[in-house]
Amino acid sequence: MARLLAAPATVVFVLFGVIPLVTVIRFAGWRWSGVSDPTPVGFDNMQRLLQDTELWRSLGTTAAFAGLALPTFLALSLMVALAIQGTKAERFVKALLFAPGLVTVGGSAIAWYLLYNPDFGVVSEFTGLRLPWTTDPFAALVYVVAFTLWQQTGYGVLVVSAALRGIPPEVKEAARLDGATEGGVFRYITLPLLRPTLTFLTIIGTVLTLQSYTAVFLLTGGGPFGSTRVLGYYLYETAFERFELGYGAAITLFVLAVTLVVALAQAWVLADRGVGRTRRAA
Amino acid sequence: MIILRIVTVLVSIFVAVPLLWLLYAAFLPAEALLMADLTMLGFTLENFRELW
Repeated sequence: MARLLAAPATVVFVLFGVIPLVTVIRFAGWRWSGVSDPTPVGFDNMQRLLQDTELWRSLGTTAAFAGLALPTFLALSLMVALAIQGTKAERFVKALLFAPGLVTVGGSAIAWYLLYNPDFGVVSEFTGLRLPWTTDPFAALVYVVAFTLWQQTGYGVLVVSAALRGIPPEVKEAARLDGATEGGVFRYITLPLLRPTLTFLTIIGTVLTLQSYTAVFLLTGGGPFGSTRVLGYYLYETAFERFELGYGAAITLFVLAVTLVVALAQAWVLADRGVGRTRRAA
Repeated sequence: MIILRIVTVLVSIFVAVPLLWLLYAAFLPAEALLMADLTMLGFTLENFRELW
């Protein structure tokens, strides 16, 4: 009975998980444009990965993107969730912040383009402020990060808010009765109890950052001067603009490996080892 | 707590502005886009005619 119930999910997993992965591994050993006959090249594509300066540059760009986006995402999610917890505005703010996630990315990109374009954007026309994201590399990266935060912060707020609701109020009240300040309650009770949630958001955020590509594709096209060419966009350019599908498959495996290593490292670093510490202290 | 509320208000504005613009842009006269002059504010249902 259990096998029968698991069968539909297993079929879907094999069809859309296992088979594509095996196919990508097979493609990674080919030189193939998608039109010509594939030529088996063994591990040549893997060796090329190590010597590809553009790939390492895009990995650096992705790290910079993650370095800007992830801490801001976590901080904003936590701060907003704490501010609205139990207030009258809670439902409205949550609904507002989650709304961008319901709009198609293409539609959102159009709105952002018309609003913040330095040549004819609304902000530029009405304030005279020319946002330099089409010419300045760092500004372009900040622009893509801002767009990503605009889309995702609502999700983070919802997750943190749900975790805050799960903290029993008696625990906080007991701490206050014992003389703890509000800062102490937050530092020694709320924050440790939110740790699994923040770990989850960090790992999910990292995985999404390493796979991000749509915002870059729609807003900056990797420019200016390749400053926003994250790994996902470099993979797209390689496979679908230069038609190097074999090498694109090798990059896919590289991204997969980087994602796994980073996610496992984060899970290990952020894991709650409070039990171990307590035992050692005892 | 005041800082958290100020951050919340700023984040809400940051999120709301593109959403409101997206809503309004659907009713923006086509000439404003063609002439790249978004100060030409107006209201038209012309864009929705294309949907039918």
